[in-house]
This record gives sequence, structure tokens and C-alpha cells, in this order.
Amino acid sequence: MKVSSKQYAQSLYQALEQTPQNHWENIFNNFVVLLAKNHLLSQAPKIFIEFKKYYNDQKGIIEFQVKTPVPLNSEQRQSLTQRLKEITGQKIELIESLDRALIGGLVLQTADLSIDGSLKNNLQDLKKEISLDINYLSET
Amino acid sequence: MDKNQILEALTKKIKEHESQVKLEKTGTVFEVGDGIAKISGLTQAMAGEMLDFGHDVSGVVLNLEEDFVGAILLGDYKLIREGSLVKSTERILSVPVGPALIGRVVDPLGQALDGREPIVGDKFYPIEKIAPRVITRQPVNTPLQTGIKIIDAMIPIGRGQRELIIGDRQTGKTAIAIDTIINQKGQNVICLYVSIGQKEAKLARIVSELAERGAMEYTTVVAANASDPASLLYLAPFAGCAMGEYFMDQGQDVLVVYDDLSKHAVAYRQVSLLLRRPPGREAYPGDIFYLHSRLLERAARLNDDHGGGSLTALPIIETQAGDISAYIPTNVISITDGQIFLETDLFYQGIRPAMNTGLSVSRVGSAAQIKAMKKVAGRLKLEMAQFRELATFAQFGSDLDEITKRQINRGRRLTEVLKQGQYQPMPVVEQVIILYAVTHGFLDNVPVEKVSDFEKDFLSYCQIHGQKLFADMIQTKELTEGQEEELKKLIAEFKQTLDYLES
Repeated sequence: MKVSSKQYAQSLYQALEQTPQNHWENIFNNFVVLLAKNHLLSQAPKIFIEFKKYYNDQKGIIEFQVKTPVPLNSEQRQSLTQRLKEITGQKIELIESLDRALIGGLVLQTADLSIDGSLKNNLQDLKKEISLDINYLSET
Repeated sequence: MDKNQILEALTKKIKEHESQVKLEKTGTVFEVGDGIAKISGLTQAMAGEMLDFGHDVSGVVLNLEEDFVGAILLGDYKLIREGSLVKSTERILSVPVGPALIGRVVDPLGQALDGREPIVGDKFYPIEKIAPRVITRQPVNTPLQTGIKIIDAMIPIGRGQRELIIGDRQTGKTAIAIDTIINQKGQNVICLYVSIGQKEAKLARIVSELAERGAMEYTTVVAANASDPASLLYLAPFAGCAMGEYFMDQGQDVLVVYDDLSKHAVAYRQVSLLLRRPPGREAYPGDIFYLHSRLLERAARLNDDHGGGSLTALPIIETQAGDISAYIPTNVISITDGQIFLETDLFYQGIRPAMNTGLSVSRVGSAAQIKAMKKVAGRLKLEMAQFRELATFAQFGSDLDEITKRQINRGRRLTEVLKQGQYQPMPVVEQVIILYAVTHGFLDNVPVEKVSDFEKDFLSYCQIHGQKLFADMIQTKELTEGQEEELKKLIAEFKQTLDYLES
């Protein structure tokens, strides 16, 4: 039977859960040996992604990717985390990255949601509106 | 409007613009290839929903699985990579519909392919729609004249019917469909020709032929050609049907030709196998029957409370070596209300249209014929059936009794009259007149090789000397006893001018 990356990730998580932290190295060793035996070392990155997903799921953590044009200061980071925590009621982990093209504001992204509050998006909306008007005017 | 005004308007616009935060449901591509993408995320996706992949590529959700969504990509997918962002549009795939489409060549998404201005539809119609319910329908009772004698007389097609055109390659399937479209000129019928997986050269020829004969004035061509991705081939007939449904809802009569559904089935098989749906007979997926039945079920004749429009479907199926018991042909035969069966042998014998009169049927029958045609068609069918029985004996010409000989002779002349060239559709009244003449034995002393000359000359003679009869028949659509007498007289007069009659 073929075992999916997701199933490997889940079993690894469960094995770690059931053992004290000082034995974890042992478990990791065994896991890598198992992967090698099953010729699945190439799947390791996939399993890692699945593991992270499963871990966050189990611990009630939501990962947000935050894109900003300038780095967040600690105060902003604090208030953003606080606000997201209030809305979702779960623990928040922020993964920050820089994107100068946004000009201002920020973009938040999770696995299946994207919240775009950037100046770039705003200007694009304005452009769309104005070009619609121009089309309308040139027709009449 | 001067410069200042424009500036003022713009300033106002910018001042009034409110910044809005855009909330979108997104997913991430984790596998892409062969026109298929697997996407994680998109937890709220609907089946049939349109997705935006960026780079002007859209997709359609087909599979909803435990941790991913399977979608087909419409257009060039080379720019999409693993990890690309996918936005859900929360809209079922729709196409623009409306009068703007008439006379145009478009792709299955409603984008112009003819190099003219972009299409701005009145409205958008979803490509998948539940067929009209039984309450909204009425029986098929109005003829859709194909202009082809053998079809209009023997297997009449009604408005709202689904008649399959089936046969091997190169037997004239498309020719019948195109002739039918050409014959709708002035009949108040909107035509749609859906080309699925055809060569571009063939399509170009068809479009120029339609344009030359003035048929593009009421026709839309929906094309997904051989080089287009399978996903577009799969969508084409549904898009064409949606465009037709708009006109049906406006109370108009619509004719949709699907050329051809075997290639459509193959495209759908490709998409299904790539999406890892289990293969069944001939590797087609389990829902291939449902695919065609839900498409053809959308052909309908609505009752007057619902506008009285109609949508006639002429699906085409290509068989391999005349095998109509293969999977797709049997499916579509059982879905449609009859079939026109074309044969290679007949085609090479010079009998064109190469229709096999024994295997072809129309389950709507004479309800879809004008009275005059009903009168001559009954006799024609009987005589043709008798001729088929006797045709095998025809080679023993000399040893046969008088009655058999007469029937064979009549049959030969009937066959000759039923031959018809491509792009030569004939008005129904002319059909009635010539069929009347031949079934009542007026051509029995015309040599077989002169029958087509007789037909042509007699009809032009009638145009001049029988104008009143023509006008009467067009108006009443009947053949009364008085008109019959008049017609007999015309035939007799005409025959006196001939020098090739046998004694």
C-alpha cells in the first residue's frame, strides 16, 4: 500500500507527541532511516510541509504571510498579531516578507484567503474605475 | 468637453475614491501539467466555478477532493508554476450571449476569433444549465426545413428536435448540416455551428462558404479547433448551447450543430483520465452518457407561456468503418430523437446525400411536415421500401414479371430524384412538386439518366408557367385536389416539350 506524505507527517507528529523531548533525536533518526528504506528521501520537503500544516492544525495556530513595503516595527507587529488573534480566536504566527511594489499598506495571506489592503491594489481599483468612465464617455 | 472639465471630473473622482480592502479566497497550485492543475486551499470552491490563475489564464473546477481541488486550465498554462496563487471568482463559468454574437466566429469563452472588434454580450449565461422542465415544453410540430429532399420527405426534422447525423469520415455529414444552415435564410432561425476539434482549414472553408451564401447574417460559429487544449473542446458544445438558449428564451427558433461529438467525447476522456477519474468502457469515464444527455436534453420547444422559442440540435458522430454499435454512437443514438445514417458505399455509388433510408429514422415523424409534404411522403416511403426489397433482383432484369419491373423502374427514378448536390438546398414547395411527379408515375417514361435534367427544367418551367400554383402552395402549405389537377396539367404540358421520352 502506498503511504502518502500526509500520513508520514501525521505518524511522525504522533510519535513525537508520545515521547519526551530528550528522545526526539532518536525518533528523527529512525524516521530518516525509514524514509531511506522506502526510497522516499526525495519526498522529505513535501513531508516537512505536511508536518508543519498538521502541527499548526493540532496546536490551533494560523500562519499569516505578511507582505509590506517597509519592515514592520515591533509595535506594528504586536498590534497586528493582537488584532488577528481577536478575529480568529487562535494563535497567530506571522511570516514577514518585503515587497516594495506594494507602495504602502499590507497584504495578508493564509492558505485559502488573501486580504489585500495595499496602496497598489487601491490605485489599481481607481485606475479601473476611471478607465470605465473614459470608455463610457468615449461611447456617448 | 474641454480640458478643465476633464481635470475637474478626474479630481472629483479621485477625491471620492474610497480605499477598500480586498478580501479574496485563494489557493496555491501544487501540481500543473497537461492542462490540469491541482490546487490546495480554495476551501470554499464550487464545482464548475471559474478560477483566476493570473496571466490571463482561467480555469474551471471539476474535481473537489479531500485536500485539493482539480481544475482544467483554459488557455496557455506554461506561465503557471507550482506555488502560483489562484483566486476564486465565485462565479460559475459563463459566456457572453446576445445579438452581438450573430455573424461572428468565437471561441468557447465568447472571445472573437475573426479579428473583428471584441464581443460585448448583453448578458452572461452559465454554460451548464438544467434543461427546460416538462411543464415549459410543448410537442414538436413545426418543421425545420433542411432543404434536402430525402430528409424533408422521409425523416422530417421539427423545431426543437434532436436529430443525429452519423456516418464514417468523408460521407457528407458536415455537408448536410451546412446545407441546413444555408436553407434557414429568411426562415427566422438563428443558427450556431459548433466546431469541435476540426482542422482550422476546414473551418475556414465552412465560414467562407457560409459568408458567401449570406448565411453568416444569422449564424454564429463557435470554434475549438484541433490545436486547442482539450478543456476548450470539452466546453465548446456547452458554450454554443448557452448562446443558443439566449435566443430561445427570447422566443426565437434556434438551430445548433455540434460537429462532432465523437471528438468531444475524446476530449472529455482526456480531461477525465488526467484528473484520475476511473476509466470505463473504451476508457471513457463513467459519466460520458450523462455528458451528452444533459447537453442534448437542452434542445427544446417551449410552449407559448414560456415564449414559444425552440432549440433544435443536430449532433454529428463519426463512426469507424460503419460501426454504429461502438460506445459513443449507441449512446448518442439512444439520446436523440432519430438519426440520419450515412454510408460510404452509397456515397461512392454516387447516391448523395449517402443516406441509408432503412436505418435512418425520425422519431418525431410527420408531425413536423407541412400537409402537402405529408401527402407525397407517405407514398414515397412505401415505394422506396418496396424498391429496397426488390433491388437485389434488379440484376436479373429480363426474367422479372411486369409489376416487379415497374416497381424497380420507379425505384430507380425515385433514387435519382432524391440525389442532390451540396450547397443546393431546395424550397419545400419545389420538393413537393417534383416528388409528386415521380411518385405518381409521371417520370416513368423519362430515361433514368435524364431524370435530373427533367427535374431542373421542369422546376424552372413551373417558375414561369405555374406562378399562381407556387404562390398558393407557399401560402396554404397544402396540396388540394384543385392544385393537384393544375399540377398534373403543368406536367403534361411540360412533357410535350421534351424529345427524350421513352415510348
